[in-house]
Amino acid sequence: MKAYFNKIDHHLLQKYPNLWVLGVHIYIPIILALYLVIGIAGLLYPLNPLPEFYRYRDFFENTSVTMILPTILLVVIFIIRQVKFNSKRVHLSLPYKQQFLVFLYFIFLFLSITTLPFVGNITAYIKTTIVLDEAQFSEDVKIMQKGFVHFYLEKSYVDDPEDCVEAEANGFYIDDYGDHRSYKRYELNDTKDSLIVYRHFVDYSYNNDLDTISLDQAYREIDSFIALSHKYQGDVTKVDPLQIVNANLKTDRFYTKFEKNVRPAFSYLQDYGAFDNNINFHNKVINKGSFFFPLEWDFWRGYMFVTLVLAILLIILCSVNIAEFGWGMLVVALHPTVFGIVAALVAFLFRDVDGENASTLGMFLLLLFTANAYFFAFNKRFKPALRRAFAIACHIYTPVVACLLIVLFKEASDCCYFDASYRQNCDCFLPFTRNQYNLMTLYTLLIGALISTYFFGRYYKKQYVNPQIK
Amino acid sequence: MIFTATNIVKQYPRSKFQLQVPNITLSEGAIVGVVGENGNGKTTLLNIVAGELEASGSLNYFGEEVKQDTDWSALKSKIAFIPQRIPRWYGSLIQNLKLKAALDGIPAEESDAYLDEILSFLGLMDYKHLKWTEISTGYRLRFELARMLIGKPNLLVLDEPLANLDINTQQKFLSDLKNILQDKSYSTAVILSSQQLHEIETVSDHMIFLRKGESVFSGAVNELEADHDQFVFEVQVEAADKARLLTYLQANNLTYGATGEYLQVSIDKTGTSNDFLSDLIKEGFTVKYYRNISKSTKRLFNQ
Repeated sequence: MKAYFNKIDHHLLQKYPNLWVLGVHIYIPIILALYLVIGIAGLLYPLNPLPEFYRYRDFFENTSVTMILPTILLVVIFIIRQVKFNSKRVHLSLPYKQQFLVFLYFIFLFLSITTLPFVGNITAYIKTTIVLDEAQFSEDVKIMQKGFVHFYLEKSYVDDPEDCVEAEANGFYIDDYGDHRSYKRYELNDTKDSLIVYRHFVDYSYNNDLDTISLDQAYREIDSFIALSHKYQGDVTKVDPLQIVNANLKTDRFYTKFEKNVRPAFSYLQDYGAFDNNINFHNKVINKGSFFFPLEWDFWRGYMFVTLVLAILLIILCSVNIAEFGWGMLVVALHPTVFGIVAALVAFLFRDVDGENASTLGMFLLLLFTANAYFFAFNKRFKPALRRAFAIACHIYTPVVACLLIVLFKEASDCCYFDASYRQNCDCFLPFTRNQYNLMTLYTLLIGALISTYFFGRYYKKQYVNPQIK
Repeated sequence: MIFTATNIVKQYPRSKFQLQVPNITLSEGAIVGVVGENGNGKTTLLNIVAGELEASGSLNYFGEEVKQDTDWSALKSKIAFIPQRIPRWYGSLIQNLKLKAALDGIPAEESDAYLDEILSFLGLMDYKHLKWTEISTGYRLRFELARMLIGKPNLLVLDEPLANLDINTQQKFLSDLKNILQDKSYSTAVILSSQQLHEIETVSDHMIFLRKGESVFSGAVNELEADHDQFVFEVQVEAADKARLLTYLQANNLTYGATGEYLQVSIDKTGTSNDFLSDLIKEGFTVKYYRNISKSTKRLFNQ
């Protein structure tokens, strides 16, 4: 194995030095292997019977947390390799196009490494979508929703409505403590030929309301529920519809003043907890957002920022002297600090300015400080080392500032959503939807990072390859 | 012609130091030595020649005048600059050499043989699998030289390469340089700075002596003597004889100066250069050190 690796290493070193420097033969196999192992671990989690959802979710969240350290280690090892072998003298000897490809590789690799903690979550989700039939569930749940009321009723009755201060026609009353309670959730109507039932949750999505149904309809609902519920771990203890309805009508009433006393008025499910979890599990899968956060687009939108920052920092580290990189980072840290102080002073001076104008002012200040950083980076009167430190800062600021400008522009145009007191003289115009703005921010960050890196890549090369002015 | 420059001027406004070199010429196969006291502009000059530092004046590399739009990236691929402090290498030495060879476009099938040739030439074969931290300063320098030679540079710029090397390693390194220049497969010129005057003068075809940024002397070492009508000797005698020697020099109206324990004596060229040594021996002085520096830039140090 080692001999085989050495052979590949030697081959890449002599034939494809740029790939060797990037360590593709080391990191890609390691990442793929880890993807495979973690991915398989995600697939291996048993789904029959369905585990309790919170245990299931916690397992993968803990896996993600456990993977953070190995991920950081991999990132650090990768950075060290680049600093060692892709140092300035190697990196700057590459043509611009290849330097830019190196940056794209950095983005790809950082994204690949840093997504490792979430691989298990994603494969687990894929497995659940395969194992659980979402379309069938959506059909089944509509039917079970109707029948559920005949099998399980919680917080259904009050013992003594006479004690209540006020009873309302819609089935609610207010008790001595001002709490809303419902009552009479399962009873015959006045003519005794129909049932008044209180439709309530199977999956918490059903709109709770009183419903009047014929007895025949009730029997059909019960039969339909029994036919489906066992698929969802909802085996019942009674199967005769007539018996069930009669039993429900005779059920003793419970006074449910305190939450701790809440208990079902009746339950004909063998294991309500398992059934509830099963339905809940299905719902979480359908509504991906609440299933695992790595399945949310919003998460990845923010996450892209992390990988881009890492990739930009590394490409800068490969393009400049270590000492100048340090100075650059100092400028990156101090310049916004000064900006913050000035912005705070301006905010204090213009504290009566409304939100729309405050955003415009913010935009102006941001542009002013960015222009200031560019001034230091490109003015030949300053020392080259100082200029390069500011250039590093500009390299990082440019995509971030572009994003912030979009955010501030949105805020400035979004005055309709401000507090009513700010709406006077407000000319609300948002050319795009808020989602479009969010997407635009992401794309701006990405494109800004690419343009900035391409442009400053040339800057660094020119700075270090051409004779220096000292 | 490898490199020519006229009217090089470089100013450091803060220190008010100014380097002024009227002209430098580096022809194929030539070694140019740059000497002078510390802080007199040697490193500045070499940095300018290596294209690391901007200066006013006219520079011409490989027959092409440097202009505003000169592609320094292409130009520097033909220039090998070894600074005084060589950046550390990571990984094994041979790995670094192979990487350089691959980046310089040497075909994979030729790379091993080509590197072995360079390493054998520099006597580094036994060390190629070691790491940077496992070799001495002298070997580091030679490995750096090997790395530079991979790209067959036409101009070698070496800043104080002999510093920190023992006398044998210095000799070996200078002999390597001579051998490199004898390789006729590509034309090369070398410019190097050093404080080891004797060693550098031995190998250099042309010497530049800098004093306070000005080129006091530029030419072949032999030309140095031709400009003067006096022999200059560097002498050290036993401590007990020193006072007597001074009296002797004064009695004979000989001009002298002192640098530490050494005396620099100037004598009119009436006889041969050996006459003064004979006279000293005849007078009964115990001569510990004697050197004729009439043809050495050393004589310029005390002027």
